[in-house]
Amino acid sequence: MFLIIVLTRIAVMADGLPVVTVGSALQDAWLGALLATAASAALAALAATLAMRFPGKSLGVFARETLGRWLGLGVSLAVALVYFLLTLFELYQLTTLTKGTILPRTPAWVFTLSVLSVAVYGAYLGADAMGRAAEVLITIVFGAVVVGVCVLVAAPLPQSYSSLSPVLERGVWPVAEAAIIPALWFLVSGGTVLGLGKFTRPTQKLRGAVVGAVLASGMLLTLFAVISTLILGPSEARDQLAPMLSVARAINLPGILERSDLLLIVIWLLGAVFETTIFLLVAAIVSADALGLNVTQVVPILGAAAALVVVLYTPTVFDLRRAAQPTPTGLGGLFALGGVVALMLVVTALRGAGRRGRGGP
Amino acid sequence: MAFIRSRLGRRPEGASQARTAELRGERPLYADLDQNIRVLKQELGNPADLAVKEFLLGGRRNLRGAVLCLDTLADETLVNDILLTPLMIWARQELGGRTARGKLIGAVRHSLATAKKVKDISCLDMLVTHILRGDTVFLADGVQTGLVIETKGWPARAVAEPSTEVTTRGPHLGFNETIKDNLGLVRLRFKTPGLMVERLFIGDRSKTDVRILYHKDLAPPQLVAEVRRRLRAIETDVVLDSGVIQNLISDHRLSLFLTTRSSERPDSVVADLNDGRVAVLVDGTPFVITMPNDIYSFFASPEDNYIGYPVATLLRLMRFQGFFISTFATPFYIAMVGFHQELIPLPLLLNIASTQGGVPFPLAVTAVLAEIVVEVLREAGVRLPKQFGPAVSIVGALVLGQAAIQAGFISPGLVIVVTTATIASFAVPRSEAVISFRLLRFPFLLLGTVLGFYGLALGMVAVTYHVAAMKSFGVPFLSMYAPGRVSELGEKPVLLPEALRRPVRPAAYRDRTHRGPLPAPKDPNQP
Amino acid sequence: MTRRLLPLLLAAVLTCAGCWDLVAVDQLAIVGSIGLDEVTPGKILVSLEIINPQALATGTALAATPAPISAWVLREEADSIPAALANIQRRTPRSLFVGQANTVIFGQELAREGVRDHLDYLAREFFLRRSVFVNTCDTSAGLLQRPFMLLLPSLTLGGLALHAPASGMTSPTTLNEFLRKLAEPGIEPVTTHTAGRKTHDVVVKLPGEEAKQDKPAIQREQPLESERNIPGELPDEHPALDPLVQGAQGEPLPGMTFLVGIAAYRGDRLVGFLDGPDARGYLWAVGQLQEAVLQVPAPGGTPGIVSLDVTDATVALRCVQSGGGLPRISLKLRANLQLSSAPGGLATQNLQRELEQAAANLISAEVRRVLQLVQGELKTDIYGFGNLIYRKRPKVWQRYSADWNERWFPQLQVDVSVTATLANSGAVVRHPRR
Repeated sequence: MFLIIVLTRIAVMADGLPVVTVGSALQDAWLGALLATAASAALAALAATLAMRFPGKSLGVFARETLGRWLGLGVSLAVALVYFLLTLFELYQLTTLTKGTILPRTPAWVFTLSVLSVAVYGAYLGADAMGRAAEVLITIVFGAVVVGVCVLVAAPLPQSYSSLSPVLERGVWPVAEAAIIPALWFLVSGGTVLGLGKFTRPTQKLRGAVVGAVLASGMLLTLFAVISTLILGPSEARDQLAPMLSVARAINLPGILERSDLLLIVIWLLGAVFETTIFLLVAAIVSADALGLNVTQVVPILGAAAALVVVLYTPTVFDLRRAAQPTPTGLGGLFALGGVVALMLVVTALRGAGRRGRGGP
Repeated sequence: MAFIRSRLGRRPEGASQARTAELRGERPLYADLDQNIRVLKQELGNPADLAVKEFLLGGRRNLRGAVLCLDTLADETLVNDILLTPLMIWARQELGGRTARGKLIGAVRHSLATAKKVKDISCLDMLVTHILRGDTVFLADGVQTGLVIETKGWPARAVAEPSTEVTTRGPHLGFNETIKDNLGLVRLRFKTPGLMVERLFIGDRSKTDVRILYHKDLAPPQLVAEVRRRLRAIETDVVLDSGVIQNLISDHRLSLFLTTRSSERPDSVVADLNDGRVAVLVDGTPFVITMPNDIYSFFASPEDNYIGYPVATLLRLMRFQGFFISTFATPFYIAMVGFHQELIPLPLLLNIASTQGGVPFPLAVTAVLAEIVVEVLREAGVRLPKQFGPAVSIVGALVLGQAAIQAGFISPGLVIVVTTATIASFAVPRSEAVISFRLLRFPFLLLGTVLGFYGLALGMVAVTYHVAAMKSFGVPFLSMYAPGRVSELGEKPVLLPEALRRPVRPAAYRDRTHRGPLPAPKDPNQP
Repeated sequence: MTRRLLPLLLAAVLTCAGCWDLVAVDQLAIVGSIGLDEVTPGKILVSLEIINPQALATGTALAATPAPISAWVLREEADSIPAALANIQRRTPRSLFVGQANTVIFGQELAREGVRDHLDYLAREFFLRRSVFVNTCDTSAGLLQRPFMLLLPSLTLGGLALHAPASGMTSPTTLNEFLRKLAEPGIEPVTTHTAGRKTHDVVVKLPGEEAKQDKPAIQREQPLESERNIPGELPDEHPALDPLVQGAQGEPLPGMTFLVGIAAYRGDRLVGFLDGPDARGYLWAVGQLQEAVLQVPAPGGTPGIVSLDVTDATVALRCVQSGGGLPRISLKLRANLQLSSAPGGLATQNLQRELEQAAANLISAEVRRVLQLVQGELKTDIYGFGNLIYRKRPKVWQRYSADWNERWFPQLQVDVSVTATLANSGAVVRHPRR
């Protein structure tokens, strides 16, 4: 069940991530995607290990247990805030993309509020329900991906596979840089384990599931990066708002499928709405546990807060692009999240060792 | 009431049964036969169909007896054959000599060996209840205990082919309105000592006979307890059909998806029992409820197991498609034509554009109107007497549709889509699901009109969330689908050949150790 | 209760809000192709072919009589495409919709001035497909005329593009490819070179058909009298506004649209055309030739010409570094041939090697000649050799990238080697002797 929650996260990459990846690495984007996958799989494993130490508890509880009352509260509220901000970011991203492409005349608040209400509804229903919903959605999404790949193969496109060969023009750094943001996203997805881990029954399998999910979604990201590089060319892909949508614009099977946008929109919308829900849910679970409240009480509050923010402030495309810059945001985020997890692991390990030491003869 | 209670003090000393009944706060019988008859008549409001036959037991003058029954419910030949004849004639030997009054009832019972069911009753209220159920009551003068003899026999429909779940292959036998026949039909196919039958009566006034059926080893005890609890919690006056109970014990009363399933077919009920489900038989209706339900059951027909697996798999997929077409075809068409014209192949777009050109109303309005008209036609078709049905459908569908197109009120494309959607909805084998799935398309129609594909996708997610959160008696509604299990795949969308299929029971009710106990049941009275 | 109210709330919000992006399909002016020309320097003339759905709709209920006009061509001149579209919208009673357009046509003059600014619009407009075909021609007016065989100019252009590979003389180019090549280092875009010619072919008429022909199928827009004096109005006699050719009886004859070859760009500017055999010489080298007809003199002293069909051709490019200087490019081409006609009496089975050699020579001569032409005259790396160097030797490329097209590309050494295999002989293995 859990594997699936993380897997559905993939869909968002269908649009957002290749931009960032292709951005600085050009044709080496797929290398960057692989790198990101590997790096974040390791970090996600770390997070899963942490969650496995405390079966049935979320970050909100075990942060307090490991780091003490106030520091623990601070850390878990910070993590909850991160996920809340991610919810907002996801909302904005969705809005900008939809408005920029398929529905240009519809006001932005329609998208933000409608997605938000669905997300609040989902988060209100809880993690179990979302796990089951994920299985249904993933079927649709994977179905669409498979059909999409078939279309791609069938479409008469001049594909020059040579554009995939690595260049490493400016050394390895751009590739690594490109890997940062996707890695952060994967980590964030994998990090939901901190909040959702408590709902998984066979806790032993948690780590495998999370790593597997990150790897699987990483593979898909790589596939997307490869596709957009192949069809749009590396330089063009960099400049697209949503490279995969542009790819879809370029594919045309006359008479059958005038444009493959539809498939992609389905993948991407389902995934993005679900992702928003999960982020909101994680924010709610972590903060509820930290404050000792009920999740169903927190969800409407968070939802209302998000609605307020969304109504008051609508960022532009450029704001969003800036917010997703690899160097300050990405690196900072990576270190912060990874750091918190690592710190808590160390503390847990020390305590465990101490207890064992004391308990010994 | 008061006068009866005031007389209780003066009753003559009688059997100990009467005393225990009194202790339980029930009204015991009187020793005097005439008084008993009078009180019973009074309780029942002295109805015209109450038959009271007084006679002398075994022809002995000092042993006065009476039988009471409602001649509308009780089988009169049965009353004569198994009750009056033995009591008046054969009881002579039995009662020969002087039988003590205390042993009288026992002696009478022995002489009624041909009767189906005989029971001692000393409580007045129970007698009333039994008379109302079609049983016959025997009372003797000077005895404070009566006998209840089962003599139910009223006009019933013969067992016939079910009208809802029609299959081409498989038994053409459906339940009827008599609970006894129905129980028999189930037993006939499920000859196991493990089949448990519990009985209770629901409805303050209707006192409907309801049976809970389950297999004691297969059905999880929590589930049975939960079903029992919910049935007992029902407070209603009259239960005329199992649908009433279905609504009252549902987990999600506002949802379009039913959390119990109902079937007219004994074979599908037995299949459910064998899966570990609980069945509830309700007297007076051929529809048997089984639970828990899952979404998958909407698409499964009993026939699937009787035909070859490739065909069955294909049919199941077709039914899924039928559901999707019926729910999404019209909203999809509207979204496509109203928002995403770039996705339509050019010749088709030109075709739609030129036909839509002359239509006076916007597409969305015509679509909603067409949907409503089709629904009305369908509903009218159901209500019409059989002789008019075909004629009206022809006029309604053919003539109206054709005329509407020719008059330019509606574009042909839309007519095609709407009718396809309607026909596709009947591919779903459970008729109760058909209607709810059709309702689902109206919100989608709205979403598709306002926000195009974006709205549809959003609606899809919301519906998925809703269904995913639903539980039927503690079992997730999606349990056959999610969490997905490879072992169950052979029974779900695809149907593997028998040889490859392992006998699996839905995992959600099977390995409870793995998933933990079923969640604490929710009070159905609280939303 | 909240859980149950939420969907209701959502529905309520949606109902109150309205349908912003909903456009009734009959309110669309469906654009089939877009012509871009330059008439007044610094301005752009946008021509839109707007399809009349009524004319193409199928189905018995819809067959309108008499056959209506199948498309209109609307033109406006402005500083940019969006402005021109806005001007056109001003006189179109329906909403312009470019989502179904399948062709973009660049007029030569505009293309020579550079198309980058206009491409930017085409790339940004989400509803326009990136799979639209890009054509370059003298003026778009030549193409947006009454079509031959099909009902719409856009259908004609799309059909031509679809079947162009069979001609072996050109290759259809999509907007996506154009943008891609424009953005990549070391490769320059090309488009199809198309020409619209007025034909004076004899139109065979059946008796009684004349009555139907009295109206032009495509209606040219005639400027209104009152509009004539608006400053900036186009001169009537410009080739981009060519009126329909009048036949002898004063009725329009169908135009003819040709695929001529390849239009080569340097960056976003048109620098020249490679037509007919020249185009083939280029297509060989980039591996885009799927079908072609080769004609070689019959070997073995037999008089006549042997025709060979190329069934497929693959190209392998390699970048050979010699010292620290400009790399050499090795171009290896393998072609599979099929014998399609040979002069009578030619015992082809014995001459397989000779034919193969002759074909290989022909191909390699063609490739070399065109390469020389492109390097010497056009000076634009439409082959993508620079891109190859960039990918294989990024460091080396940095040295040459600045002045690639003008200075280094013309000096580039390309070793061409061609292998041809005669694999098939059609349905006949040996030509019957006379």
